[in-house]
Amino acid sequence: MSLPEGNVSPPKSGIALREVTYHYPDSQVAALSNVSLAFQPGEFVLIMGPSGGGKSTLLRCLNGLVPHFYGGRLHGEISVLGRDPVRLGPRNMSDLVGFVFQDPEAQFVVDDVAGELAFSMEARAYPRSLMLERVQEVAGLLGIEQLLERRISTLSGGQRQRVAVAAALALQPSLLILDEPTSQLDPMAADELLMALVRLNRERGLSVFLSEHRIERVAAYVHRVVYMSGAGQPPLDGTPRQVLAEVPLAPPVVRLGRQLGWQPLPLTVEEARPFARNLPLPERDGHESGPGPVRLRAEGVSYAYSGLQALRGVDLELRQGEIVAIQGHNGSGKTTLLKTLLGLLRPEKGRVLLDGQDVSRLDLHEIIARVGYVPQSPGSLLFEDTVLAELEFTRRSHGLPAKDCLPLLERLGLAQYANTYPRDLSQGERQRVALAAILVAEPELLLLDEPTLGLDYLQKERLVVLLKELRSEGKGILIATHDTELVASCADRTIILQEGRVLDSGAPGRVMLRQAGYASQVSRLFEDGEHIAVEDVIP
Amino acid sequence: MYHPVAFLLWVLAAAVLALGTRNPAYLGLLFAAVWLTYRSARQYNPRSNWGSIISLGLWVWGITIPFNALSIHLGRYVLLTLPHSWPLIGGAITLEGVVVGFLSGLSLVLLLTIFAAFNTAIDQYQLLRLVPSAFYHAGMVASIAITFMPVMAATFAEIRQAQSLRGHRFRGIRDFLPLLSPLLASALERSIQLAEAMEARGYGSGIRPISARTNLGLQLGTLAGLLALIIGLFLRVYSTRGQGAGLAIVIAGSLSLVGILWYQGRRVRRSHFRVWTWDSASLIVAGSAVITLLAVIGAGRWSAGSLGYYPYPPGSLIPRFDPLLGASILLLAVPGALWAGSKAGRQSHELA
Repeated sequence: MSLPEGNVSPPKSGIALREVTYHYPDSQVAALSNVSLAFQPGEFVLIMGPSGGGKSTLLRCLNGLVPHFYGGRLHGEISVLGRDPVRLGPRNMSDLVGFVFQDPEAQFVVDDVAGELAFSMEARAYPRSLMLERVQEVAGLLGIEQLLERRISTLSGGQRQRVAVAAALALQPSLLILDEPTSQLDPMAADELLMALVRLNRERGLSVFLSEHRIERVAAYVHRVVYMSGAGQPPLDGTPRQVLAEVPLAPPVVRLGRQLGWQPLPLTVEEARPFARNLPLPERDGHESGPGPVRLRAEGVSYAYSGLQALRGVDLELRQGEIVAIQGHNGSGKTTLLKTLLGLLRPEKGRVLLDGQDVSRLDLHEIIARVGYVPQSPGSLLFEDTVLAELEFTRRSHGLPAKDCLPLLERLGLAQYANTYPRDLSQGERQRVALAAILVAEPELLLLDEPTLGLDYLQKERLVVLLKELRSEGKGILIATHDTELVASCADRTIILQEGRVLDSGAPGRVMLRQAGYASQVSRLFEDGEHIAVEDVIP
Repeated sequence: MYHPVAFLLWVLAAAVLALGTRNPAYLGLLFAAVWLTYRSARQYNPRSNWGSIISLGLWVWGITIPFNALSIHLGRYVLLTLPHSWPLIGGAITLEGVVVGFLSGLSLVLLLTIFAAFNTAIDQYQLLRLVPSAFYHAGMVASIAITFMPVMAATFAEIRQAQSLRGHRFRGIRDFLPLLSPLLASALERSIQLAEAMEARGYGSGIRPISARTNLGLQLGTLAGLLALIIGLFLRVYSTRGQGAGLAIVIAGSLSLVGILWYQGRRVRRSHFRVWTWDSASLIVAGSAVITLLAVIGAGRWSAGSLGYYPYPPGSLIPRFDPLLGASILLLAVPGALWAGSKAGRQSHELA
C-alpha cells in the first residue's frame, strides 16, 4: 500500500515525489513528512484526508506553487512528467500542469468567458488564430460553447467551475490538478463537472489529480486514492477499494459495506445493490417531526433582485424541535429565502410570520433575540483576537449578561482553541466557531447557510450529532444545503427549490424517491423512502 | 460594443463638461445624455454593481443642498430667515444658495454616472489592452483593482449583514472594527488566491528575463532621465540664461525615458485574443465626443460667460444659453441612443 521510502522509480514521463518533507514558513510542524509517491501518466487520482492533512500542499508541490509561492522549506525531489517543479516554478510548469482552485471566482482575471479562456495563451504570446482555435476546442470539451460570449458574473456556480477547468486546459497541459472543485456546487453541477473530467481522462489520456471531501461523488471514477492523514504519517496509497477499506473517512455505501462485511467492498450504489437485495432492514426509528408549535412561517413569499425573480410564492414552516432542509441548485433562491425569513429582505408578495408576528413589523433585534443565523462564510463573522472573545462579543451585542462560555466551547469540541486566533483555525473549526458565536446568544431557532462547506466526514458527523442534540432541546433548525448526505442524516423535512419555486417538499426519504438528483447514496440503494442514511440500516 | 477608445473619448468629453460648468441648462442636458447612456449600458450588463454607488451620490446630493443653503447667506431671493444668533446657519436662506447646492450635488452625481456608464459598458480588461507593453504589469494591477471594487462592495454588505444579525449595532467609529477587520482579511485572502491562480496560469512567463546588470542599468537610466527632466524644467522656469540648455536637457531626459520604455515594452511578449475594430457606430460615438469636446473647449476659451454660472449678486439666477453648445452636448447621448435603437443592444440584453 504505502510506498517504501526511497523505493520510487517511475518512468521519466511519470510523476514522482521522493522523500518530500515540507514546512510552511515559521512552522515547526511539517505539512508533508517524508512523502514518497509515484504515478503513471494518464491516471485519475483522488487525494483525500482530513482537513489540514496536507492534500492542498501535496497538489501545490506538483506545479511548484509550493515552495515558490508559499516559501518555506522543502526537502526531497519532485519530478512531474520529466520536469522539476521545484527548480522551474509554477510559471514554467503552467503549460504542463493546469490548476483549478476551490473557489472559481477567486481565479478569474477577465470578466468574459472567451477572454478568460485565452488569458494564459495571451500571456505566452500565442498567435491569435491558434487562440481562436484553442478556445473553441476547450469550450467544446467542457460543453460551454454557448457561454463563450457571456460575462462570467452572469454564470451559475457550476458553469463558472467548468469555465475554470476549460481555462486551465487552454495551454493543453498533460496533468490537470483540481483542489476541491465541487465543494461549492450542487449535486447535479458537481456530477456534470466530474463527468467532464472522466471524459478528459478516458478519451484524452489527461492525468487528473483531484482533492475532494465528498468521496461518494468520485470514488467510482478514480484509478487511485492517496489518503493524507497528516500528523507526520506517511500517505496511504492504493486502489480506491484498498484505501477506502481502511480509512476513517469513507462514503456511506462503503461504510455500510465495511460494517456488513460485503466483499468485494462496493464503491458505488450499483456495486452494492446485489448485497442489499436480501438484507433484513430494521424498522426506522426516525425522529417524528411536528410535536412543537410552528415558530416561523413563510406564506407565498416572492422576492426579486433588480428585476430578476429569486423567490416565487414560497410557503414554509419551521416548528420547534425539528430540522428542516432547503435544497436546490446554485441560484435557486435558498440564501434569499433565509434572508427573507430573517426580515433582511422585504417580500414583494406574501409575508413571514415569527410566532405569529409579521417580521416586517418587528425590529431586527426582536428577531435575532429568537433566531440565530450562521452565514455560509464564517469569515464574515470572525474578527476578535480569540475564540472566547468572539463568543463574549455576541453576548455583549445582544445585551446579555456575561457568562462562562467554556462549556459551550467544550460541547462543540473547541475548548482547546479558546485562546486561539479564529482565523488560524481550519475551515471546519472556523465553521464551528461561527456556530458557537451564534449559539452563545441562546436563540430558539437556528438558520444555517451551507454549514458543511469544506467539512470532512468526521467533522460532518460531529455537526450532525450537535444538530440532533439541539433539536432534542427544542430548537427549530433550518439548513440551506447542497449536501444530500447531511439531509439524509438529520433532516425531518426537506424543501426543494427550483428557480425560486417549491419544486417538492416532505419527509427526506419520500422526496429522495421522487427527486433522484437529491437522493443520498443509501436511499438510492434501498429505494424504500425509509432507509436513507447509514444509521437507518445499522442503528 | 463600441471601441474602447471611442468610449474613452466620450468619458473625457462628458467629464470635462461636468467639471467645467455650473450652468444648469448645460448640466441638465448633460445629465439627460449621460443617464440615457448609463441606462442603455445596463442593458448590456444588468448585474453591474454601480447602482449602489450612484445611490450614494444621490444621498450626498441630498446633503449638499441644505448644507449650501444653510452655510451661504447671499442672494436676492430670500426664502426664510433663521435667527442670526444661531451659529453658522443663522441668517437668510436664499433661493440662490439652494440652487448652487443643487448644482454642486448634480455635478457630483453626474461624474459618478459618467464613470458608472463607462464601467458598465467597458470591460476593464479591454482597457488593459490599450496600455503600452512597458506598463503591462501596472495596467494589470489597475485592472484587477477596479474589478475588485464591486466584489468588495458585495463582501462589505455581506459582513455588515452578518454582524447586524449577530446583534451588533453600528453607532460610532469604534463599532466598525467588526466590519473592517473581516473585510480586510477577506480582501487579503482574495488577493493572495488571485495572485496564486495567475502564477499557476503562467502570468508573466511572456516577459524575457534580463541579467541583473542590465536591470540595474535600466533603473539607473530611468533615474537619470527623470533627473534630467526635473533639472531641464527647473532651468526653463527659473533661469533666464539657461533656457536653451534647459530645453536640450529636457529633450535628452525625455528621449532617454522613451528609449527605456520602448526597450522594456519589447521585453514583453504577449498577444491579443480580442481585437477591436473601428466599426461605423464606434466612429460616430468618437466623432460626436470630439465635436462636444471641441465645442466645450471653444466655449471655455472664447465665450467663458456661457459656461460660467454665478447666481449670487451681481450675477443672474437665469443662466445664459448657447443653442449650438447645447446641441453639441446632446451629442453625448449618441452611444445610448445607438444602443437603444440597435438590434445588437437587444441581443446583448437577451444574452446577459
